[in-house]
Order: sequence, then C-alpha cells, then structure tokens
Amino acid sequence: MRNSEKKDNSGTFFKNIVKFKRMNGSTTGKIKGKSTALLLIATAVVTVIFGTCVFALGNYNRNNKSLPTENGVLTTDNVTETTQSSETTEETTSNTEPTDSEVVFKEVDNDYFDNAVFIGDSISYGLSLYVTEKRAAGEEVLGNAQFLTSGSLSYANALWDVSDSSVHPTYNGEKMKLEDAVAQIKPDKIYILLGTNDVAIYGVEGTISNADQQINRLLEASPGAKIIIQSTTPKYISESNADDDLNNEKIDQLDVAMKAFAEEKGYVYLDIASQFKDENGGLASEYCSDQEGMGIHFTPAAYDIWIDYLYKHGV
Amino acid sequence: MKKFLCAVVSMVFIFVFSGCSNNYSGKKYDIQKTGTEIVAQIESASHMTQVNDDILMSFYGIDKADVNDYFALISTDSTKQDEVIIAEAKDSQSFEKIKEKIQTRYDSKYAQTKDYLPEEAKLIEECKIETDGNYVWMFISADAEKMKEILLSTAE
Repeated sequence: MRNSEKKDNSGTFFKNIVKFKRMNGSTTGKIKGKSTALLLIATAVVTVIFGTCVFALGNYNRNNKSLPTENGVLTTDNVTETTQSSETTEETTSNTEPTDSEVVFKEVDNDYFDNAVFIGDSISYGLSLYVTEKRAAGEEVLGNAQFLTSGSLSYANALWDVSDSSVHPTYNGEKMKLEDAVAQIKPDKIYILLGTNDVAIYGVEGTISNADQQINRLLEASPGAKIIIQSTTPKYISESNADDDLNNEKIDQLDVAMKAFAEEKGYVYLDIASQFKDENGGLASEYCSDQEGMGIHFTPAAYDIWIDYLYKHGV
Repeated sequence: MKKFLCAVVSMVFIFVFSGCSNNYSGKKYDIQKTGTEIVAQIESASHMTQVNDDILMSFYGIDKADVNDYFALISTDSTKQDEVIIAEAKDSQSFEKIKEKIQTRYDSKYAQTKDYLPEEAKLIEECKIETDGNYVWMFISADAEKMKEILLSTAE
C-alpha cells in the first residue's frame, strides 16, 4: 500500500461518519471535519443526559405530592406544577388545610373561637343552647363563637330557597340561607355538623354531593375560611326507633366517606363521633337525652365532652 | 227582610274588622313582676334560662334599644320548645319590628320541629302571639294560660 493511500485511510473513519453523498453523486448536506463530528457527538450526549434528568425529576414529583413543612408535618400545600390532576381544570374555592389524619392538633383557648361559626342541625342547636346558658351565667365558653343551627337542617335543604316552611336558621332574627349569614359574619373558621337529616334520604353519595355544593357556597361567602367538618354523631338504638330509616350503619358509612371527602378537598375533619360511642358503636346511653325518641340528641355531659374536644383540637 | 240582611252583613263586617285592629286597653303591665311570678309559680319555667340583651339579639334579632322593658325565658333542652317573651316596645315603629321578630321566631320554631318533634310542634301551634298597645307577648308552654293570667294580673 502506498503512503498516500495509508494517509488517506487514517481519516477515513471520521470522514465516513460525517460525509454523505447521494447515490447520484450530489454533495448536498455534506459535513466534513473531525471537529464537527466531535461536536455532534457531544451535543447528542448532553441531550441524552438532560432528557434523563428531566424525566427522572418529573417522576419524582408525580410520586411525591407533599413536601415536609418546617415542623416535619406533611401537608398538601406544596403541589408542584408537574403534578398531574385530571380534576382541577376549573377554579375551585376549596382551601388547602391539613386533614385530621395529617394535622397536628393543638390545645386552644377562648380567643381561638372568637370568629368561628358553628353550623348544624338540632344536635348543634342543643350545643348552642348549652353554650348560651353558660354564657348567660357568666361563663366564657367557645369565645364569641356564633351559631347557625336549626332543627331538621340538612346539607340538602340548606341549599333550597328560604320560605315560610324552610328550616334555615335565623341570624339576628331573620331567616336566611347559611351562605348569606356567613357573608355577614365573615368567620375565619366554619365548623359543620350535618348529615343526620341527609343520609337516610339521600344516601352517602347524595349527601357528599350536597355537602360539596354547600361548602363551596360558604367559601364564596367567606373566602379563606377554614372548613372544619365534624363527623356525624351516632344514634342510640331503642325499641321505638330501631326501625327508623336512620341507623348507625348508614351514619358510619357517611363518616368514612365524609372523611375521604374532607381529605380530598383539604378540609379539616374532626372525629367527634368517636367520643360518644358505646361498645356497639351507638350513642352511649349516658350521652343521649331522647332515648325513647329519635335517640340522637345530647345530654349536658355529652356537650361538656364535645366542648372539651373542640378546645383540644384547634388547628 | 232587606234591612235585616243589611244589619247582619254590617255586624259581620264590624266583627271582622275589629279583629284587625290593635285595640289598646290602656293598661300598663309589670313585666318584671310577671317574669318573677312565672318562674316562681310554674315548674317548667324555673328550669329555663333567662334571656339577656345578647340573647335577645342573637335569638330574636331584637335590639334592646327598641324596648322599654322585656322578660324572656328559653328552654336549653333542644327537644323542648317552651319559650316565654314579654316586651314593651318604645313606640309604634319599634312595636312593629318587635312583633315581626317574635313572629319570625315563632314560625321558625314551628317549621323546625314539625317533622322531628311533632308533639312540640303541636304545642307551638296551640300557643299564639298576643298584643295590647305596645306590649307583645308569646307563651309557648303547656302552662301558657296560667302565664297569661299572671301577666294580666299585673295590669294597672
């Protein structure tokens, strides 16, 4: 082999990589030179490395929706832009507060409740009467918390228009929708205990759906308010009410679903119901004031437990 | 015959329209004495909570500035609807406001209880809001008649 041929062969490899011709001999697109080839290879390597990093980071964020807070408690506040959600295409008014299973509760004093409102049916109406009686006697109970409570109130009928026959609570002597009263009060905390008058009629799904609608209305009326859902409380079973449509099985099913709903929406969930159950999961006899009636209303002893629980579960 | 019929019709109209007016007897009632006697004489009332100015606003929406005097009791048992309120309005305008607020309270109590406490709803139905001049009262109680007697007995 001649030296000129040898010399030609040493650069052949690189030339073959970068040089191309059309079969007809055209030289369009021909790239020549070792340095160019190296540049292309380096570019390809960098691209692969970069793409791998982006893909890996995306996987990390999808699998880890929560990030630790300063106190080590996980919250759902810090969802990154790379997290995919198929249900958040519309703007919602839900806040992003920690739930019962994640939040660290703290003991609070009366001031904590000053701008709170308690929404509920006759069970909460009883609480409002108990608190009113204590306040009238000079005791400070639940700060200046206000009550929007009414017998027979439910998530469902709270959504209806106000009428002579509706059971909306009154606020300062005027019957009005919950959201209208909340719009006047502008509370920073909204405690809700409903469901007893819902689940036997509308089932678990229907109750959750109505709850979602009502809570959205409340948040529109008082943006930024903390929503605190209290579990629907149990029923004392007696001969007179054993065949009623409302039973503890339905209540328990509702509570499970309501807890999941609260966690999904970022609301706080307080399991007050567990404070009043007997060994059979019903309302303990010492806490029931209407054992021969509906079996759902509380004694003063139950109200004391309830109030104590509220003081110990501030968020 | 025609004259007789005219007389009958006139009597009917007089009877009907007289019910629409607030015939003031001119009497003054001792509201505080009434309240004290009600609590002393009626067992159920002795277990009820006396309403203060804050409760008057939160439960009734009645502004203390609109009343000359009042006495009220509420039941703190959520399964009992017993309630007492006697108020003297400052003037006719306040009277209309107070009467409307008490009526709202009455209507709400009935609407809330008619489904889940039918016996209590019946008790509410049997009681009524009454007025005399600028005085308005409501006794929701099985002892409503006795309470009214006590009030009327204080009249001057």
